[in-house]
Amino acid sequence: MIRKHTRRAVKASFSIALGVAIILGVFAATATSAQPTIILGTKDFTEEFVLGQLYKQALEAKGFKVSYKENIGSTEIIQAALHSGKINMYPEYVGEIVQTAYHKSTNLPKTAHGWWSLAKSLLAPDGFALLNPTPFYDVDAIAVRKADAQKYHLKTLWDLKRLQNSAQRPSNFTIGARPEFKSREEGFLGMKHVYGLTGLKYVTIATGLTYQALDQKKVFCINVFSTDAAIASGKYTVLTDPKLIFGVQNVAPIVSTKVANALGSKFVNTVNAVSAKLTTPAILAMNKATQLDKQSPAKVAGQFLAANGLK
Amino acid sequence: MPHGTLLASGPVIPNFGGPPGGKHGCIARNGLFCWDWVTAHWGDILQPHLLQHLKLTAIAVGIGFAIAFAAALVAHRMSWFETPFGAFSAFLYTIPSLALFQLLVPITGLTVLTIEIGLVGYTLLILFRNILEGLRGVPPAVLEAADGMGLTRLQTLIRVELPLALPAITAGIRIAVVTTISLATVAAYITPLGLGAPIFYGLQTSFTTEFVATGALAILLAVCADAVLIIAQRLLTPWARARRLAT
Amino acid sequence: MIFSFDTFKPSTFVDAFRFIGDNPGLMWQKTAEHLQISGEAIGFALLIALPLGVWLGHIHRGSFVAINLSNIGRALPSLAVIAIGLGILGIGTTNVIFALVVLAFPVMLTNAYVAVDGVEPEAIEAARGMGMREHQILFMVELPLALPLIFAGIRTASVFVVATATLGGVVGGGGLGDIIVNQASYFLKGVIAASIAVSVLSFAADFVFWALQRTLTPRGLRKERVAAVTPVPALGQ
Repeated sequence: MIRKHTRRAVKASFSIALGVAIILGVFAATATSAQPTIILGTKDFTEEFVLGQLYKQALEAKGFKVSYKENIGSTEIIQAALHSGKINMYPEYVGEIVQTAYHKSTNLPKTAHGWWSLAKSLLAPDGFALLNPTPFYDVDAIAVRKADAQKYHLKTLWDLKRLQNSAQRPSNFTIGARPEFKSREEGFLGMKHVYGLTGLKYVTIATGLTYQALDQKKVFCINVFSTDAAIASGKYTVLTDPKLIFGVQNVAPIVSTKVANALGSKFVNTVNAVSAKLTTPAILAMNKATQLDKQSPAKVAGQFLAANGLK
Repeated sequence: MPHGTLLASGPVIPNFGGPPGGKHGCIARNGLFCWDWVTAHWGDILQPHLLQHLKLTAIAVGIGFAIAFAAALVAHRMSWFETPFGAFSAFLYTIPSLALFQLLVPITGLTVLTIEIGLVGYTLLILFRNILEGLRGVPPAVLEAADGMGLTRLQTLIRVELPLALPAITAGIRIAVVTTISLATVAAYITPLGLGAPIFYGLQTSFTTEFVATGALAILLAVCADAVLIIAQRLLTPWARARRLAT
Repeated sequence: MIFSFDTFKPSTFVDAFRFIGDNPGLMWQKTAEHLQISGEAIGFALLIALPLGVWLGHIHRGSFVAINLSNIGRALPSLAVIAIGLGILGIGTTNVIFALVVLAFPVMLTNAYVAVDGVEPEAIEAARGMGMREHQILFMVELPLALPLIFAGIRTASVFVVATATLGGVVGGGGLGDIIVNQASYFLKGVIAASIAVSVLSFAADFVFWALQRTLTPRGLRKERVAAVTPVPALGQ
């Protein structure tokens, strides 16, 4: 016959064991579900493919799980993907966040850090964090053929306005640019409103075909990115933008705050370590390898990370 | 091996090597058709996308045929059905493919389903019209003879009408297949599947040989598919030697 | 490249019509560009296909090529031809027009050939018996009888050209395709508006050639060649 206190002891120890097991189980369940997958997206041009691969491979090297969605679209489109939860991270240009995503056009900061802080504060209420910016910036710019720059004495966008209003204005006074550039204040609209370039006719051209169009004299000027590898060839002159309508454009990764918190400081440090290494010479070299030499962004990013001990 | 000067905090920029094929090679010149690129990337770009393309086409034509066939049978029995279904499928046909795929994305997402819905929609008109025309083209005398022989409606359909309709049906399948191959290239606009994907990617990154070579492959696929189906059509219907413009 | 950017509700259709009303300048300019590109392509295709097809049909030669040409023409994936046209001719409307001509002329040629080749031999015999010379036979007997089928080919090809010209927007070719590839700026209502415009233009092209056919067909033949329905539905894109 089992004594009463033995039975009680058995019951007690059983309950405690069950309780501990339940607590451990819940803990285990929440622990595994606390490792969300990073869904990393990129915009639709080569530099973004390189940036995406850099962050993707660096995170995977540190054991994070990354689901990669390349080539989603322009700022407007990838922002929709971000806000609807289809992705939770992507590398963005700081000025694009302020001007294109949040449509701020007044009281703009004067320093790069100011722009970054402003972008960070705009994203926070929507549940997104902005990680550290890269040293390099890549800003929209307008380029003309070098021969035309010399012939018409073009150095800034004001010179373009002067040409527009002068008798020497060429008959084919057009700008070739990608579709979404047309309706942006930090794009063609700004050129019209701020610089008065209302006489410039717009020709929609895919991003990859703009230099070709300029070479073939189909358009007078094109919209380029300041870190495009083709600019280094010397065939083109990039016009300066004194009014800074194209903004300040260092790159900083946007991440959903929930995901960043769940993944912790190891995640944030890994991403920031990559960003810190992206100086202008570095991105120019990688752009040349991918844009001109047609190497794959994955391979080039992998080589860069390996050389810098990040992979 | 890291090259370049090691700064305290600056990055090491490795030597990525020049363009494949050398500084004066085809790729460096962004040439029209670089055979070395084709051979280098057959395995990782061209072949996978070709197989995806074939799969997309096969599924679309298969499902489209099933729907169109059922609809044609119904219209054959109840002729009032022809106008609404015909009008519906004709309407789908006039929507530009670039637009239709974009319109479907908010509804069915960025998936194979979206592509297939679009592609199936485009096959319906051709298949429905051709199957129905084929069934209707059976001479009334033959139907009377079958009736006189005591065949039921189902037996008449299977043993008399369908075989006689076969030339028109196979012609419709052939047109549907090549049309679907063409439209499936446009489907890559919304999600990178099929042969359209390297074409769009090449256009975005200004890589001429990528979109030219892939375009050539797509053309080759379509022409071969057409030839194979013509042969199949001739084999299946040896009695229909008469040249008809509908084919 | 598109990622569920804009929502699609039934009201979007209403918005599309409002878009047309709100952007008359844009719609008008793009429609005019679209018409110009399509028109030039149809024109060049006619110039190549009709004389060649009619002549081959008249001398009853080259049947294998003439008939199978339309098969190949129909099989060509439009986007691939436009991409290759871009590679060869560079950017601009020229490469799109070139691609559209390549896509359109086979059907026109085949139809012209089969139409003239298939004219009843008795009619030609009778004409010869009356002492008509070759070119009189061609213009006064064969062509009028072949007209419906020739026009069937022209109508099919024209509707196809107008619809496929939208793909030119992918390579910066202009026309209504420019709006359809720019959902970022014009939203789905703009895409729908441009699609409606393309459909309207397609029907208009079909109608124009139908009307042309009616005027050109001799009255005596009009009753017989009833409703020259396009034997193969318009391929479009």
